[in-house]
Amino acid sequence: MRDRPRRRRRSIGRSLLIGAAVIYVGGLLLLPIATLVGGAFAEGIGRFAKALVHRDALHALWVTGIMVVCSVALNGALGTLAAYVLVRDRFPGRRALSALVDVPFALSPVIAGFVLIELFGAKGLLRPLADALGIEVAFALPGMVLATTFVSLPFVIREVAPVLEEIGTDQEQAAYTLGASALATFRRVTLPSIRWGLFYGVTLTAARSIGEFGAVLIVSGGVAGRTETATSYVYRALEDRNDTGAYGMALVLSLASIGLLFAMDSMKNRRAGRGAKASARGDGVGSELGDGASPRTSEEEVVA
Amino acid sequence: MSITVEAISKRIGAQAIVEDVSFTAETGETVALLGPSGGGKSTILRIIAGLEEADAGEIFLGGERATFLSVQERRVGFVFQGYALFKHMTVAENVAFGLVVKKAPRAEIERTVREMLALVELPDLGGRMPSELSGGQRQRVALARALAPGPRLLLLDEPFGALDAKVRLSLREQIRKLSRDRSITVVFVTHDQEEAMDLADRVVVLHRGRVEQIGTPAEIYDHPATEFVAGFVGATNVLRGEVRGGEAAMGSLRVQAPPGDHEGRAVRAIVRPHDIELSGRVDDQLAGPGSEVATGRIDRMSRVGYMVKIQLELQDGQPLTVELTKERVAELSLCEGDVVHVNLRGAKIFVQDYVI
Amino acid sequence: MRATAVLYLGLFLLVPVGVIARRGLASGASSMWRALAHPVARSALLLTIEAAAIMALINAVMGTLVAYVLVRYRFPGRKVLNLLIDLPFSIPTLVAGLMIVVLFGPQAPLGRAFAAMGIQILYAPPAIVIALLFVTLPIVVRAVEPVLAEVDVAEEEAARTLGASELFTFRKVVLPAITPAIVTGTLLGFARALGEFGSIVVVAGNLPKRSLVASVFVFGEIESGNTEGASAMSLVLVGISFFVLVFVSMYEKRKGMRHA
Repeated sequence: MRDRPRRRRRSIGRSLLIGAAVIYVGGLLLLPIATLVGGAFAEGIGRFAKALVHRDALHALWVTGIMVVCSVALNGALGTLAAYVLVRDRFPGRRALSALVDVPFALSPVIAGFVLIELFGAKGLLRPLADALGIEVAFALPGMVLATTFVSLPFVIREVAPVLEEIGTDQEQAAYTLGASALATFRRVTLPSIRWGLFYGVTLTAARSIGEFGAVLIVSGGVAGRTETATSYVYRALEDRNDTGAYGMALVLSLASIGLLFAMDSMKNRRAGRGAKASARGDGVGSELGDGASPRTSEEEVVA
Repeated sequence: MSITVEAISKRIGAQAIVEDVSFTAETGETVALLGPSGGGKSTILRIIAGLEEADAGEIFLGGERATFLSVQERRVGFVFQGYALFKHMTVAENVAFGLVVKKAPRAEIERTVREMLALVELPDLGGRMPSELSGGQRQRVALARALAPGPRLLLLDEPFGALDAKVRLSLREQIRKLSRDRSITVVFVTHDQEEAMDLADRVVVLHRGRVEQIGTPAEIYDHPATEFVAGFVGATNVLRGEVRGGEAAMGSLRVQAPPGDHEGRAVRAIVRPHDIELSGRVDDQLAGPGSEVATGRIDRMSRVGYMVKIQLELQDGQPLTVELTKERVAELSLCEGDVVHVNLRGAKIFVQDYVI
Repeated sequence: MRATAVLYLGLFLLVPVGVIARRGLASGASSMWRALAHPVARSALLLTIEAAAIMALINAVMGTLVAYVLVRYRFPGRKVLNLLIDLPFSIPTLVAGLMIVVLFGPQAPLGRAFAAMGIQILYAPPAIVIALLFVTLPIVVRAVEPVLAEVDVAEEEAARTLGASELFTFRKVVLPAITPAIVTGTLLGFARALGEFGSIVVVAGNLPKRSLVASVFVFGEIESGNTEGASAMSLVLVGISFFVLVFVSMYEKRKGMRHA
C-alpha cells in the first residue's frame, strides 16, 4: 500500500462534518428513543403488558384505531379527489384554496380543537345543525374524527398532487381516445400511476392521526373509557402518576411509529425508484473525492 | 510547464479504469488523450488535476513531484465537460474567481478579467449570467476562467462535445493560439480523432485504460502500432486472409507480409480507402477466387465533398470501401455495377495470435 | 366532482380560519388587547417566540450540515441516518416529549449530569427548545436536500481547481444555491414550532411566566372556560403563522423555487 499524506487533510474535515451530523441526529433522535424503548425492554415487558391489558388502555387503543381508520378513509378518498381537482381543474379561487391546504401544518392543534368546541360546543354555531341531525359532535367521537381528519388533511393532497402534475394528462387523454369513460380512466390509468404517492400520503396520514393529541384532547374532554385516545391516555396516566401505564402505552405508540417509519422509507424508495416525483432521497448525487467515487465515464467498451 | 505521468493505475473494485499509463508533455506542447468513450481518459486528466487519486504511479508537474499535492496546490487550469460555470455568479465574477481566491488587488482583478474576456472574444458579456449564454459562449467563459489565474498547464475534458461544428472549429483555433502565444502546456481529452489530429502536437491513444500508442498525428495515422489504433484512427477497411508464401493473401489481394515466419497464420489487414487503386474495367464477370488478378464489383458510389466513396464487393465476398478523387473516377468512367481491378498500395498487416 | 372537492376543502379549511377570525374580531380589538396584556399571556407569547427563534437558528445550521453530509458523503450508517431523520414525522409528539423526560429525568445519567452542573433542563425553557428541535429536525433537512443534490459537483470541483479551499467553495458556490431552501425550511419550522403542543406540555412543566408557552396557555384557558383569553392568543398565533406562510410563499415565488 502506498502512503497518502494528503488524504489525511481532507479526511479530517470530512470526518468532522460527518461526526457532527451523526452526533447531532443520534443525540437528538436516537438517544431518546433508545432510552425509552431500551429502558422499557430492560425492565421487563411484563409490567407494561399487564398495565396495557387494562380495560381503559385497550379502549384507548381502540378509539385511536377508529380515528386512524376514519381519517385515512376520508383524507385518502377526498384528498385524492381534491388533489385531482386542484391540479387538473381550473376555477376562480383555486390557487388560494391550494395555498390553504397547508393550514393544518401551521395551525396549532389546540387551536384546531378550540375551533371545534366553538362550532359544536354548547353555544356553538353549528350546534343546532348537529342537534337536528341527532349527532353529538363535541366531546364525542364525531368531533374527534373531525379534529383528526383536519390535522392530517394536507398529507395525501401534498403527496398526490405533484405526482399528478408530473405524469401529465397525456395518458388520460390517450385513454379517452380509446373510449374509456372518466371513471374507468381514473380507475385504470390515473390511480395506478399515483399509487405510491397515495400510499405514502396515507401512511403519513396514519402516523399523524395516531399521534394527534392536542386537538383531540380538547374536543374529547378525555373521558376515560369513552373518548380517550391512546395519546390522551398517556397524558392522563402521567397526571395520575401511573408511570407504568404511561410508558407502556408510549412504548406501543413508539413501536407503531417505528413500524410506520420503515413503511414510509420503503415506499419512498419505491417511488423514487419508479422515477415518479423526485422526493428527497438524500442518496447522494455528488461523490466525494477519492472515496470509492464512481468513474465519471462509463466503462462500457465501444467496439472500435 | 512540463508534465510527466508515470505508471498511473486506478481500479474501481475489480475493474481497472487506468492501467500503467505513462506519457509526458513538454512545456508549450499540446497533447491529446484520444480514445473511445469510457477508456479512462477523463480519469487520467482528473488524476493529473488532483480531482481523483491514482492507486499507483506518480505525477510530476514542472519536474516536481505533485502526486500528493491537493487540487488547490497544483494550480492547473481545468475546463470541465459541462463547463461547470458558477450559476449564481455573473460571467465577470466567474472569470475573476481564481484571482479572488488569491486575494489579488481589485485593480488587477478587473484588468485581468477584461483581458481574458477580450481573449476569448466575449468583451461585453461580463455582466451576464451563465444561463443567458449559448453553449459556445459558456465554453469560452470556462476557458477564460481557467486561464485567468495564469496557470502553466491547461487541462480540457472533452471540451467541444456539445457544440456544433462551426463553434467547435473556432474554439479550436482559439486554444491553439492561446497555447502558442502564452506557451501553456495543454492536455485535452477527446474521442474525436479529427480534433485530436488537428489540434495536438502529440497524441496518446488509449483503449480500455491502456496506452496503445504515443506519437505525432502523422505517426499515429501512417504507422499505427496496434490493430486498435489502426482501426480507430482514420477510416479503414478490415480484410481477412492468411499468410501464404511470405505474402498476406486476402482473396486475390496480395501484400507483403510482415517479417518472420507466419506461414499459414490468419491475418487482418487494415487498408485505408485511399490506399487502394482501381484500374481497368473488366468484362462483367468477377474473376473466380484464386485467380491471379484481384477484382471487385462496384455496389455503390457516393459523392462526399471532393472525394467519391465507392463500395466494392471483392470476388471472395469481402466488402471494400475505396476513396478516389472525382477526377480519377471520371478518368476511369466508373459506374455502379462495373467490375474493376483492385490493387492495394499499402496495408497494415496484423498477424492473429493463435486462438483456440 | 369539483363541488365535492371544494366542499371538502372549504369545510375543513375555510371554516376554521373563518371561525377564528370571527371570534377574535367579534369581541373587539380592545378586549383582545386586554386579554393579551395580562402578564401571564404576554410572557407565554414571548417565551414561545423566543424558543421558536432559538430553535430556528440552530436548525438552520445543523439542518444544513446534516443535509450536506447526507447528500455529499458516503459512510457506513448513512442509510440509518437518513431513516432516522423522518422519525419526528411519524412519532406522536407526546411520546417525543416523554422520551425527553426519560432522557433528562433525575434518574437518568444525562439528567444527573446536568443537575450536577447546576443547569436545569426539564421543566424549564431548555427542555422546550430541545423538544422543538426534535420535532422540527426533518423540516430543514428535507427542504435543503433536493436543492443541494442539484448543485453540480463539477462546480465545486471547478472552484477547487481555481485554488479555493473547501470552506471558500462552500461559502461562494454551494451556499448561494441552497440559501433559499434554508430560509424557507427554517421559517416553516418556526411556524410549526409556534403551535407545538404535545411534546412541550410534558417536558416544560408549564409554570406560568417561566415555562408556559402560548399553546399550553390556550389549552389552560379553554379548560378553565376563559374563551376570551383563548381566542385572543389563538388569533395572535394564527396571525403570526399566517404572515410567516405568506412571506414564505412570496419568497419562494421570487426565488423561482418549485413547490417541493
